[in-house]
Amino acid sequence: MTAGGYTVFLVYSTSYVLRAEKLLRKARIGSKLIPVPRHLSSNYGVCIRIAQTDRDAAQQALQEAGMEIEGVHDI
Amino acid sequence: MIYFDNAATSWPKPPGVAEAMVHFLKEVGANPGRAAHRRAVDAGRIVYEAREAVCELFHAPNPLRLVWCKNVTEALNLALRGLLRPGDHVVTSSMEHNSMMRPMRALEQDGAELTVVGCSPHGVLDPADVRAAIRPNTKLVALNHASNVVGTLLRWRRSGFDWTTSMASCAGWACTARRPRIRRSAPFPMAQCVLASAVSTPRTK
Repeated sequence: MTAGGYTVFLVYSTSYVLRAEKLLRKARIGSKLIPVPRHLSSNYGVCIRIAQTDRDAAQQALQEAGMEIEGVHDI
Repeated sequence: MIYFDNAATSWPKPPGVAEAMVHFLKEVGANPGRAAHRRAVDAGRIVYEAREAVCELFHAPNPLRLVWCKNVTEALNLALRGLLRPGDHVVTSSMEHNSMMRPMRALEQDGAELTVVGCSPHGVLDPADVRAAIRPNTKLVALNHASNVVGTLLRWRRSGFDWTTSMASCAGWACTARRPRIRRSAPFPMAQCVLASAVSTPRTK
């Protein structure tokens, strides 16, 4: 996706992830669903990965839509 | 045979019901929310899309604030027992289904106050009578929107205060009759509505 690294958003359930994916698509921010990295959480399931350069814009888009975010991690 | 038991459950089901089940069993089959592989995510998408569809129907702003229940009775118990505490007052009607009335009678024994507003001989509830029953400690007005016995509808849009309602009948009717959406003027407090119950039984009644 980018040479500048990735940022991962952890949320509370698969439904949250899917809503986040839609919100980011609407904001024209590229994203990918990936398994939750084990070093970030023991929760199994998916999280959403974006380019680090989109981090602030993505966070803003999700927060404006009232999304609760469990964690934001650069990887 | 002519099927007359639509007050219990509709038949025939819309073709999309069987199609969706066959699609899931043949093409998806995974457990939503319990893995990261593609089929599990696909299953999660089906659930999420259903959330969005339901919220569009009821004008709910956030599809994540929706609770799926196994049936209307469970959903009503969840809502009533979640909202009402000893000393709270709840208003209901004399036309209620047991799934509404029985948990409220149980809550009454636990200390909640209950007012049952009578309906006309034709099964019509006058909103003015409901309004007159409101007290300072009224926490909730809990009513079935449509009677599955006589088919009368509540004129709840004219009420001007918040309701908890079971829409098991009318929501199904709204879906299957291809009504565009339940009208926006509906004063539906999402935190207090038994939305999950309405959705768990999308029937033609």
